Amino acid sequence: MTEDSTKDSNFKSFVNINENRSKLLAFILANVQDFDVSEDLFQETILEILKNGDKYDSSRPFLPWAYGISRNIVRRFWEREGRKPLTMRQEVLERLAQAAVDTDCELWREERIALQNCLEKLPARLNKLFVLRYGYNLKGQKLADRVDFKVGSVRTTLARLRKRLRECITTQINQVY
Amino acid sequence: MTEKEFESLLTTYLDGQISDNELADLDRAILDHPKFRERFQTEFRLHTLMREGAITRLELNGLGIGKIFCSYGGRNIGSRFALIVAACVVLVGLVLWVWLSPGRVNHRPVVGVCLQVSGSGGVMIERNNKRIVIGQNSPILEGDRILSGPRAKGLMQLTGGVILSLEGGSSVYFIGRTSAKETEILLEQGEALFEVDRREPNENRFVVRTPQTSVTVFGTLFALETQPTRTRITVYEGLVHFRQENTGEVVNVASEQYAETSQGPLQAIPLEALESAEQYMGMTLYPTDDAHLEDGQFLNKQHLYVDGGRREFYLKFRIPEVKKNIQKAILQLTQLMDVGFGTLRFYEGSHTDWTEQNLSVERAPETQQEIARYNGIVGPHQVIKVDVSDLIKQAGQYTIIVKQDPVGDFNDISFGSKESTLGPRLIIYQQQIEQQADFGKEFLRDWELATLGPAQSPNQMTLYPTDDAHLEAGEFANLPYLRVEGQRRVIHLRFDVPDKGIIREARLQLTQMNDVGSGTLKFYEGSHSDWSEHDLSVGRAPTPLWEIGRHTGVVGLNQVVEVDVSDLIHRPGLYTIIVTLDESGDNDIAFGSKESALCPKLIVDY
Repeated sequence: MTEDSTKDSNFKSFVNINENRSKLLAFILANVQDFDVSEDLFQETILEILKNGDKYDSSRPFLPWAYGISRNIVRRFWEREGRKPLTMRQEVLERLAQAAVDTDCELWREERIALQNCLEKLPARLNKLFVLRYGYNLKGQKLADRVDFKVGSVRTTLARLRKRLRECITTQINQVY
Repeated sequence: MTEKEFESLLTTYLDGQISDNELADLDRAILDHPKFRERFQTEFRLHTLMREGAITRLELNGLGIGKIFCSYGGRNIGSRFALIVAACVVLVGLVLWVWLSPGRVNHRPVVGVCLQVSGSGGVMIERNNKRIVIGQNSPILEGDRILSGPRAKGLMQLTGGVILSLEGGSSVYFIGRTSAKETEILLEQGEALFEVDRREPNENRFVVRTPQTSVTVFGTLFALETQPTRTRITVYEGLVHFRQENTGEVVNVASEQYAETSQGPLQAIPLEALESAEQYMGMTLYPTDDAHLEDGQFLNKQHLYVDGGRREFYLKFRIPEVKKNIQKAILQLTQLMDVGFGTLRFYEGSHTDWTEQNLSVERAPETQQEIARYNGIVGPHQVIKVDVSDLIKQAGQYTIIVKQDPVGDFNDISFGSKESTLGPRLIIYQQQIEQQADFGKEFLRDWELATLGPAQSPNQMTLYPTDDAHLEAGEFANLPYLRVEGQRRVIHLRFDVPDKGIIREARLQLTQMNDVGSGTLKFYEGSHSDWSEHDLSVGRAPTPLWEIGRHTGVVGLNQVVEVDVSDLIHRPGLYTIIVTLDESGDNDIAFGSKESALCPKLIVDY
């Protein structure tokens, strides 16, 4: 491996990570189901990808290769933490993770931009819930205590929040085009 | 499984509290039913994007991610944050390293990244004949074209130490490397501000082209504005070679100078002409007090700092009694010491009972409503101007508080205070100046008056469409009327705007004919003007790009609907305007076409 080709592979990896950041994060998140943990593992994945850039065959799609790396990192994480899920559960989580990201990259990009506008329009109550759940990563009873709801109501309101944002995103995208 | 049961499972899954049995049920539903699979994908995509959105928001609110997670999660992720920062530095370094190396990859390399999009209308990227809306962190590739909506701005960081701030209604094409030592971009239309790191003669050259000129940059801060027939460059710092392609003339434009094509021989002119033109008929006021807040203390020094949530500054002005009504008030700040970029927000202060000597956190005014905003770069000695007319309408005392949205580390900006020679200024315009919607246009007109000779009386021109037609049942109809109704009937208008000088304002008038109706008429810029009313078809018709105006209400008999389209029509050229009506039952409205006596009109003030 020459110095130039190493640079090229790093460069390509950087481009690929940058373009597919959300999908890669989603893949890990679907596997571990926790925002904080998934972001830690995402950083590990980036470093691993850059370290192994020369092993990536650029004639093949980037994401499946990157998913493979992140899958190994997730498995390593379970072992390190000593709380490896049952094999069946792990298989299901991996299958769902694959399904979650099996969509067009541009859709992710468009929706990310539309979501920024939609979040501006949230009423104060939903905004608070959004920040606590998605920003501070509170869930279950802790989240319910903070917003003074019952746990069941929090779940329903979060579902309503997502529905509202989904409708707003669809409207925004249709308006632009 | 019913939809309700599926939704319940999905919610439990997203909450991260799903049991093994529930997970197996969810998995089975997704495997067996494509609609559940699609629903799962949509919801999980949103779930992930919401997390990213929340983190961005918290960063913007200046709360600091590390602190948040420590206090709520009890986990020390400060080191993780440092790791992220380090990784970013490594990645940016890699890009620059690879870019500058001869072994760079040739296949559509990344030439930059979008740092920020502000305003309304959005910024699009045209890549492989497809247009995509872009936002923060979207990569820019060689061969991309970036288009900004009339009211949108895009801030981009390019490889090779270039920051580009693209103004509304502009288009820039990233040509990339044209030789081993030269990188080019083409500003096709509109205006952009460039900040370019200093270059040695043997280093990679950065060249900005316009349709008429080329600018070779050696490290500078400059603004470039191009119209179909002319280009103007304003250099704030450094030096550029400015070349007019059709005549071969070259001029060196240095700091505090500008040059423009189509003004006789190409020459560099001092910027004072611009400054004096800008202030003509205005009254300049200086703050009675100014100070900045830093780490809980107010400092009264030569600099006024803003720095994310850490530093902000306060200005107090006294507006004397003036004979005529105040029509416009422009606040000017001049950079001093620290350059930076980002969003500056200007707020009304809750009271004026303070001085720069006695200001403390306890007695400091609080922010009220936001009155102005500035997005983009603030370079060396750059003067930024914001319209504060919403606040300053009459005599009295006013407090203005200036804050910066957090962008990242080391991105503070400082401006001269009243204790320096580059202090804040408030320019008050009274009735003599005609009311105009856009300060930029007024500025341009003043500049034109000062540099091109004696004042001219406003010149108005009424233009009629060269072509008009409406889409009906999948075909374009070229009739004496133009009908609009939901998505079924859409009006297309094409105008040829001649070059008669600087365009100050443009208004479109449509006159009702045949069908009256009501609703919201929306006016869009069309994606191209390569059509005529004789050959228009669904396949080749332009599509709506940006909304440029709207009219809501009833359109009665012979009523004239007028919309301001100045945001779109501010320079000569061909324009397509598309008109739609929001759907509401069978409601439709018809206007006269150019084949009738009630022809559409475009009234242009030069």
